[in-house]
Amino acid sequence: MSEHLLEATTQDGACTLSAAELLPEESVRAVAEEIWLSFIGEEEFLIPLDGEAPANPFSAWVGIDGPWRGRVVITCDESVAQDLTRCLLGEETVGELSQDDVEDGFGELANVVGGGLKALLPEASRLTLPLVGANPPAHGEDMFVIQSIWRGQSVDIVISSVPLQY
Amino acid sequence: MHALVIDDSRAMRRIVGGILSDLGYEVEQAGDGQEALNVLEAGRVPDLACVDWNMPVMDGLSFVSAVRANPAWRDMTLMMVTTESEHGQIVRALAAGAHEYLIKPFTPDALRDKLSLLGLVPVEVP
Repeated sequence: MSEHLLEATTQDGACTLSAAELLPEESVRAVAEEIWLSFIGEEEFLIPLDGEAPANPFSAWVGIDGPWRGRVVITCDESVAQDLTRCLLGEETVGELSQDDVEDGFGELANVVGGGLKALLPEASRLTLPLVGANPPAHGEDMFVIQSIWRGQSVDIVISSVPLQY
Repeated sequence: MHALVIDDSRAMRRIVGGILSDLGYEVEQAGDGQEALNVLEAGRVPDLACVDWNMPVMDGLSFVSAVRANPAWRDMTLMMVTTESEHGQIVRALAAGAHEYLIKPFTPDALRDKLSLLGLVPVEVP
């Protein structure tokens, strides 16, 4: 275990650092922006601006399980989740998307973002399978939000510690 | 050439499968390692398997180990395609018998480059 993390670890092996201490905002933004460019499209930019709250919020989330336990939640309007899935699959080749398609594609986006953030952690951790829905689990007390805009619409990434269960 | 794309995400199967189809592969899909083993046991052994790591039922590492434990499948090329990017995980996968490792997210060019390294690009793409 790294010295940095060892100092912040209790006797039972849990990490006492907050989500923001482990995953600084600028690093999270860099990971998310790179994923948007390589996964959503070469000219698809995630802009660091606050957007309007979505009318129909829709979320995808993954848990990170290791010395630090946390959750990464992406939330946007359901129509934005559809557009993201459409981009993911290649807009020109996709017809009508089913709800299953959107949940699957949006969940995979959360999986990839979670994987990118997990790689920033100082110790090896495990990623849980992605879940999708309108009502994500409650965030931990140390939650912080990375607010962005994609195609003029709000996309939030919320990160928090989850001490007990996902 | 025949490829098997193993991923619990239909979107990822569609993306990887699409790239491989464009390269001339006949593509089959499986949603987890066990489903993929069923394909092999049915006699449909591919030249290439693209394997996600984190999947329900049977994960990618277990699938790679199961394939490598069966001499009848030794000619299969195994490429992990996963969000797992830590050095230790890459070493584990290669030690278990994967030939190559591609980290998500990736571009079509990155997948083609990996296949070129493996000598598995069946058609010349402009």
